[in-house]
Amino acid sequence: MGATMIVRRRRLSASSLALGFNLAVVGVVLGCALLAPPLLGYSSDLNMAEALQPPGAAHWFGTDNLGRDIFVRTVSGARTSLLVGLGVSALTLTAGGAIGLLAGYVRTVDSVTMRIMDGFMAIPGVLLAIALASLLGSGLVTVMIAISVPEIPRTARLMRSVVLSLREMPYVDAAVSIGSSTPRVLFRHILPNATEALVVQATFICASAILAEAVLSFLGVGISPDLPSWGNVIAGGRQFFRVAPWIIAFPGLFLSLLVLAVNLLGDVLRERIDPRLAARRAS
Amino acid sequence: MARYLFQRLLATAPVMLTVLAIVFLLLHIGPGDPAAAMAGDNASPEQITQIRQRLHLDQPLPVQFLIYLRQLAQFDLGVSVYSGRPVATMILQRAEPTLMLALTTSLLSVLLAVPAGVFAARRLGRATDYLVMGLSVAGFSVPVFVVGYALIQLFAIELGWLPVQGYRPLASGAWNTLRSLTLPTVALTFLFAALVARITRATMLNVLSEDYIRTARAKGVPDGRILMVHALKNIGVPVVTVVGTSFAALLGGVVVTESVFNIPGIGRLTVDAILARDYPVVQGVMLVFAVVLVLVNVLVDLSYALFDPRIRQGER
Repeated sequence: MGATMIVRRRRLSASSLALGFNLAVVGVVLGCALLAPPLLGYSSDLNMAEALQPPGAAHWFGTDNLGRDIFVRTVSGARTSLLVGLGVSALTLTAGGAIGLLAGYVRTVDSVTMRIMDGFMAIPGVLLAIALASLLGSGLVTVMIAISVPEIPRTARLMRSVVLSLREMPYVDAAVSIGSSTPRVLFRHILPNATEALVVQATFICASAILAEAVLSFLGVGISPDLPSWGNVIAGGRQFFRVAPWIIAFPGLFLSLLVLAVNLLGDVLRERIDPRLAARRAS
Repeated sequence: MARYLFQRLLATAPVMLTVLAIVFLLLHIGPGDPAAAMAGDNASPEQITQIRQRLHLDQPLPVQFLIYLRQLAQFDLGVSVYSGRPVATMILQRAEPTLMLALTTSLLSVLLAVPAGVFAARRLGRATDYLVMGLSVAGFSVPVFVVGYALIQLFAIELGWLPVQGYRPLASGAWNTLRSLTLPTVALTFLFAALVARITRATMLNVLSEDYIRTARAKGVPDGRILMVHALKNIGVPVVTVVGTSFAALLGGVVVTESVFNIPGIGRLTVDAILARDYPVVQGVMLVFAVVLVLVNVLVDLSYALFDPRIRQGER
């Protein structure tokens, strides 16, 4: 008994530490996203005389082939990346949540919808996202939609499985037997109890969306370079990576740190919300 | 066994049909006329009409779908809008680098990640566990292209040990192929091994809490023997499942990795086709990848039957 207590305390403090670190990283990025554009001015000022400068006092992160400051572009890219992360989470949770709610509760809808979801899941997500992005165009919203579509089936599946177990709960039976309408049962009794699972899922979706935006931009079908995002700054550095590796290195570092922090935050949240689940699945 | 295989293949029919519909409809979700989009900005109306006729875009949608299905039944994936070459041939010609990369990555990932996952589970809550889990989260947080460029910078440019980019086909000698695939494999393994290690650890934790492990422990079987004999035998099925289900992520990663390392594989073909709006090629690759994924999952199911006699004999 004593031993398990010690282990538990040690794990908890480690997770608190992780939580602190993650919140700090997310906070810094959030600060950049909110404050950077007014503080630093916008980054579109070209200056060919200063092209491909290595990092130094004048340009902390160096400059790109058009003389644009990579520090400014990296910091402004934070806003785009966060927007994409949050936007995709919202879109995916709404669509995937609604589909999963219906499929889990309404038997007639279930098999057809889930087969369609399986079909979407059989196509590699990156491939589907780049195809959609190229078809829909390179705007912020269209890129968010392109990233959301491959994410929706997983969320729908999760929601469905949560609903399937919740619908067996006595309070749901009770609600049905006193004559509550189906929408009332769904939105007043089932949805509130599914939110925890959805919140955790949202964190992971946010992380993978930030990554997906970078991948799309990197491959040339993402957000157009007028609006700096970490992905398109990195994409801009592809041709020059042998002479100017800093164009890729700094935004790449920030991107990795943020995604790492958000992912770890998801892990910590999952453990906090449901220790049983964390111990059982631990994945 | 044959009966089981047949059942499994039959069960994939609805999913495959959905995939076909998605891939087919892909062309029609963009705004405007797909023929005009594919023809490019300075195409003459005749060229657009020609593309429209060649792809049967002048027919009603259901008729188009039937034509599409009939083509596929003859293993015809259509022709490229640009080169006019059959998409199936184009994919086959690009298959070798992609297959090799997927193979080397899967092998390296399983070799690294399964022991790491087992080890982490055994040392639950200790430093080793945190190290493995930390590396694993980093693996799917750091984008493949960042890892790729870091590797190129270090091992190809600074140290000069390995080629910067490109792919040497097997015909040029297996050694050359391996050398050209080393950096891409390591970059992609970083991602894939992370997924495998995480799930191996979770599975191992599950297995370690089973009754038969407690029994073994109670009768005094040494720890190492419990791990190697009792537990390891039972993580085979879940680990195969992970490798199967993560295969989608692997194929997605291949697309990016091939772009970073300039490897002329199927992933590169896809990205080029997407940038050129050569949608028949994009549709072809999607379909091939989806079929591969579905088949891999059938194989995974089959391996259950091999591992577990209960499934083989039909009681599930």
